[in-house]
Amino acid sequence: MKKEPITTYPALKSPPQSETLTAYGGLVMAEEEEEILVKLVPERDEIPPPNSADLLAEFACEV
Amino acid sequence: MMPHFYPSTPTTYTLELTSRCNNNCVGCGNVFPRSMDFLSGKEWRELLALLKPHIFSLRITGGEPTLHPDFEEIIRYVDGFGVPFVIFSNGRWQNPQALIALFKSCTNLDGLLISVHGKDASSHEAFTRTKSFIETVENIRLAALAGLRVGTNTVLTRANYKDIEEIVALALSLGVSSVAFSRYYGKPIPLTELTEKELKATIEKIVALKQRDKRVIFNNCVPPCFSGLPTKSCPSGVTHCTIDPLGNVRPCTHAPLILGNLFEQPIEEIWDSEATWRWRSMIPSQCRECAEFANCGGGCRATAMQRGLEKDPLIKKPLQKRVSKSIKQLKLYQWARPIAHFRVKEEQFGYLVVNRSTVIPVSSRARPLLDALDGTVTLQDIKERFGQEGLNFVGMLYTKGFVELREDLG
Repeated sequence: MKKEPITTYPALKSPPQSETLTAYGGLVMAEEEEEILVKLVPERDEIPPPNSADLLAEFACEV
Repeated sequence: MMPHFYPSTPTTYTLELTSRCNNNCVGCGNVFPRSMDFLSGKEWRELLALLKPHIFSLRITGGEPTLHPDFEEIIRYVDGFGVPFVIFSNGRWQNPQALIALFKSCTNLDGLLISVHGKDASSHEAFTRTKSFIETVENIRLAALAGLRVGTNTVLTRANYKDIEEIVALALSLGVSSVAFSRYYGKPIPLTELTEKELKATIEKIVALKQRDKRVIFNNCVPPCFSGLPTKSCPSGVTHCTIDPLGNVRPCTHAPLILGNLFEQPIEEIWDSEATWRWRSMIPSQCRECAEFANCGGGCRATAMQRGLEKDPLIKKPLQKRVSKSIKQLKLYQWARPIAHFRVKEEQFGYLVVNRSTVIPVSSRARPLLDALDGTVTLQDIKERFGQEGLNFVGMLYTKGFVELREDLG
């Protein structure tokens, strides 16, 4: 396979840190697509099943 | 995802086992020629042994991976790793019963992702350019019937974009668990690929279908400035790499860029090489002004490279405002006890919390909370110790399948 050099962009040698995102008060260091707000209930109220973002299709672009 | 936090090694590895394929797809995702040599089963085992400490999940692809003469040997070796893996196939199997028996015997196989490119032979074979539809569909049915988890993937083309509902109906009738659609990545194929207008309308149709049935999925690698939809930054070159049939490391399947070879360099060195940093730095300057940059990361680098462009052709004007982000209220039983279904990888910036190919970067502050998710601590306790912020974090992990909530113990 031919190596194709990328010449139009400068090489970074360290991550750009300018936009550090702190969802969940700094615990998670990236933005999530959906924000979750939890309310605790004393009874077994509606407890939804995990939102099973499908593991197989997650990387469909890699097929 | 995590555009600004680069781990020391990838967590997900896609293995292109062989260059061989029995289809002849007009939009083939491979960047190497069919005639290219490939590693033997023994060589793949040697390579995987080198990588073993770094692997959190694997994807097996090709070519058509089942055509590797040592396919069974490789799969049994991979299964012995104890990490989840998925096999991507065109569903054209020389001995379907034997392959299904092999797959059924695996402990760590999450499932199969099989390409279906149309609702019928005419549209499917317009893409594969081989007589393949009946064989593929029948093998999907057999695999699903045998209890294997099967998903389909359809590359959107001019031959199938008007048949989205029919493709979903066909796939679900075969017993699959998910029906995914993706945009075409690669060199221009004018008579096959959709115009931007067609692609946008088709994405909107798929999103509407997904509202009704969560098994329908649209692959998210489309810039939000094009689609108006939320997206996730591409993991390629961050947490994901592809290993080609000769052991070369590339950022992703579609990228014609070799970062190094695993028989010559360790993955840690390749992942910190100038070539890898150059890949990561392929961010169109206009994208840095965009309100969605942190989530998008600047579109598909592989498509830009394949087309000799400065940027993904779908990138439009920078957005001034974020596309709407949903906020989900989640009620949970206060005496439930979360149990982790993830692994933790230490990094300079903190930790990666990894469940299969989904990776969440967290700061060092999160470690005590992660350690508390052992099935002995209630959600009420978590709220008292870590506050609402910690509780919301656990709720997020729960919705992503990173924790299970147990109620049956003491």
